[in-house]
Amino acid sequence: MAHSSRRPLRGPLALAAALMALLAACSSTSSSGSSSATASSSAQPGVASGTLTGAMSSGAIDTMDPNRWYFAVTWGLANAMCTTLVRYADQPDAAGTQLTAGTANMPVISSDGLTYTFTLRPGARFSNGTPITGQDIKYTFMRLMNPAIDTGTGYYFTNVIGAPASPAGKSNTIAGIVATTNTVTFHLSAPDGAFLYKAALPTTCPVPTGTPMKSQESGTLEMNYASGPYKLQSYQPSRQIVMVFNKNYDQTLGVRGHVAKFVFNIGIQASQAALEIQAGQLDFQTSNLATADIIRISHNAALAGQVHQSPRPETTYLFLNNEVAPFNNVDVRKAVNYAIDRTAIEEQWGGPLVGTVTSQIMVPGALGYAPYSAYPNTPNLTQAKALMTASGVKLPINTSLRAQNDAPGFMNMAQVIKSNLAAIGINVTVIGSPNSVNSSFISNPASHTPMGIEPWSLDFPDAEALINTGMDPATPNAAPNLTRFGDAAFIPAFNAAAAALGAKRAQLYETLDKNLMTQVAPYAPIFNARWYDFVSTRVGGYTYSVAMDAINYNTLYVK
Amino acid sequence: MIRLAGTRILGALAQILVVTLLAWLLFYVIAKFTGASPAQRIAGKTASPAQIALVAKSLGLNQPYWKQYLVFLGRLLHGNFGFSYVQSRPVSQILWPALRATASLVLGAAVIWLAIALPVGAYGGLRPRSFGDVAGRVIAILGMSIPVFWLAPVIAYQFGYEPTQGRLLGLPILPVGTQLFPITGYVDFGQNPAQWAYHLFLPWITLAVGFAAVYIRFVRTLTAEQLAEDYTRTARAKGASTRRVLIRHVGRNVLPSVTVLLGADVATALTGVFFVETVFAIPGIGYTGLSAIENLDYPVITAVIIVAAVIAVIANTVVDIAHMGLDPRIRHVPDA
Repeated sequence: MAHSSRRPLRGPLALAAALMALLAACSSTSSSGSSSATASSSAQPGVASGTLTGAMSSGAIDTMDPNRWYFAVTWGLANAMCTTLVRYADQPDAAGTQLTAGTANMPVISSDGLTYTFTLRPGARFSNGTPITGQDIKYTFMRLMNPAIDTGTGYYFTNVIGAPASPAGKSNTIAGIVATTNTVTFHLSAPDGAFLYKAALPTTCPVPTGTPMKSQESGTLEMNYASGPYKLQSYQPSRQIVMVFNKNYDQTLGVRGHVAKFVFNIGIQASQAALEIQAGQLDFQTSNLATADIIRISHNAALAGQVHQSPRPETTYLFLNNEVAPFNNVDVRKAVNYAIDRTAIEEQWGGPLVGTVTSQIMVPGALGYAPYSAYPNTPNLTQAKALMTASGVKLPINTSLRAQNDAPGFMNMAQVIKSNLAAIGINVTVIGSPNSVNSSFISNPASHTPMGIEPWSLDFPDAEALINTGMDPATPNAAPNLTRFGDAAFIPAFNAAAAALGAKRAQLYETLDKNLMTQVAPYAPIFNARWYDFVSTRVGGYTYSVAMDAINYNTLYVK
Repeated sequence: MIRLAGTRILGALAQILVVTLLAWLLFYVIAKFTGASPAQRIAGKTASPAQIALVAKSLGLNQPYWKQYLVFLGRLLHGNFGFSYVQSRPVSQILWPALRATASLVLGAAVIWLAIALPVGAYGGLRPRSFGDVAGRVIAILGMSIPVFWLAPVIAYQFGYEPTQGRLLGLPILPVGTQLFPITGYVDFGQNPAQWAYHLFLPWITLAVGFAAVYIRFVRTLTAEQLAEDYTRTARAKGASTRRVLIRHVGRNVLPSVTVLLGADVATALTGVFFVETVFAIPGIGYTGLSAIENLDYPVITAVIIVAAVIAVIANTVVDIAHMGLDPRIRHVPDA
């Protein structure tokens, strides 16, 4: 009896033994592990060796069409696979926001600021060896503005003469872009102080003339027509991206690229990726480190050399709909700014380790930033209540606040704001929804969302990318203008700042930032986030690109 | 039997049609209710209302709902689930690899949970209140109590990460740097069968624990019930060995019930393993659905819902027909 009852176990035991043998055999050849790369102690100019394996969260890739990409992760890839007319220097921190020659030399700008002439550099070519021409550049700009392609960055070029007619289908060319084989000239209808930043947007990544005016998602463009130090080798959507050194990249355009191959495994959660990096199974991840991991890893002295932090070009703010009661009343908006406890709200995000409390619009590192404090970090209820009284609104007020509920921190921040505003007679109902739903809802002016918490990353390191793009009073119904700010009195100041150049531009934006917050308080800034990367001991040459809000792959090498 | 099976299959087809319609409608109702616009998502955050409208038009989202549904149904009849808004490729190209990955996970786990539950449950039924039975029941209660969203990261941590630090279950018994299991990742069977099994081992165990616990209790109860029946006592009285009684007599009565449960559980697992898939980064159907929801990729979301519903209906139908084959009492139900 005893024997017979054990017999059925033979099957599972045998299976387990076989599996263990199999696992033992497999353990030395894990495909997840970092590859055994050729080691080097420092980056060698023009020499690329070794493989680095990175983790990417699901949904990090919005598109593989170079003229469409918009997410930070794809911008990071763009920085490696593309060379735009002018590009950002491969330097850390603020130095990385400086523009340098890309496929073209720095342009000749006319004295009136209306004409930009770029001369292409001799080494500018695609990864298949074909030279990049001025006609390719013109075609690229026409393509990125085409409604079938445009993900929103076409908006930045509407001041190029003839540009609005092209996407509207009224012209099959853009008269303001004149191309020859090795030059391209842009004629603007009005001066644009940020035009060079816009010419460095990753969506201006050159594509050859004749590329279909239809989204190309297979990765073919990055395989054959990459223009950066790397090109795409393979792309399996939702699975894996392999990027390899582009041997046709001319290092005279800038010494960049020191790794033979990057493998990006898609669909790995940030926390799991951090564990894998610590376990030596992975080299880096493309997402910002999760707050819990920042705290855990930052307190481990043994890992200090593997953690890198940088200020992000991002602000997280409480938007107040200027068209919806009670936030159509400036005194109420100011009262909210006095009543909220920014320090406590930021604590819910992770505290000073992951961000810096702010009450101004502009973010550190961008042109036009001059630090000042318009409102306190902790509540001033006396001032807030006085403003509520002055506003003349009848209390209590019932309103709602929307926030995303599929990322940690947002709903907790919303609860702190709810508690803060109750003290001044504003009863808040917090509504949470996944980011995809929340962002679509609040972007829709017809939703009349009274307020919500939203992070905003700059498309380029200039005040225009936050102030004009995010709250242009001339377009209160534009999707990014979540506050629906439409105070016409501010339109001249917005336009003047956008047209100005250099020091004058910075000064105008500094003034505008202060005037907006102190005079009309369109929203309540909360904090500027920090970027954290945790990399394996094999990763050398780490640099965070402030402009791309991502790791700079061009400087990495395998130790 | 054939008539009964035919009726069951016709019923299943009707269910699939209804479920398809409901799944499609449900999502559109939710989308309408929340105001979440895929066109906005695709057009980008700086897009103007005109650009958003243009994208909506190109996707056919400006059409009346009934028209969109008819277009959808027409495509579906040709096996076309539409085009992913986010990945810009046919949904079927996304769905089938995902389905293969999930099937790898679930079927492998099912083998493990059955391999554990059948002997342990049968032993418990055969030797109630013995040490082995009590141990089996304690393990079963633990298995049922541990939520998979907790178990998955713990298993990944204990068997994926800890060995690299020289520890196994907290004990410093391994050399530092031991790569026992990958923490995440998936390799296709066709690409490398050994790596496929190696990468799936921890997910299989994670998924199998909860189901094994349920099956241990189920098999134990059924076995104990059958052993108390007159026919088993008669078999024993006639000198049949315990093994013969268990396999030839008890087993034949226990297996149909286990099969029914297995069919339902495999169907549930195929469509509900997103925790395991997410933690271990397996690009399966749950992971695909979740990723599509994050990106408001309507065609993929709708396809995942429909495929999940169809799997459930097909699994139940197959189980019912198999049950008819295994249990003569069912296939001999008089026509009524």
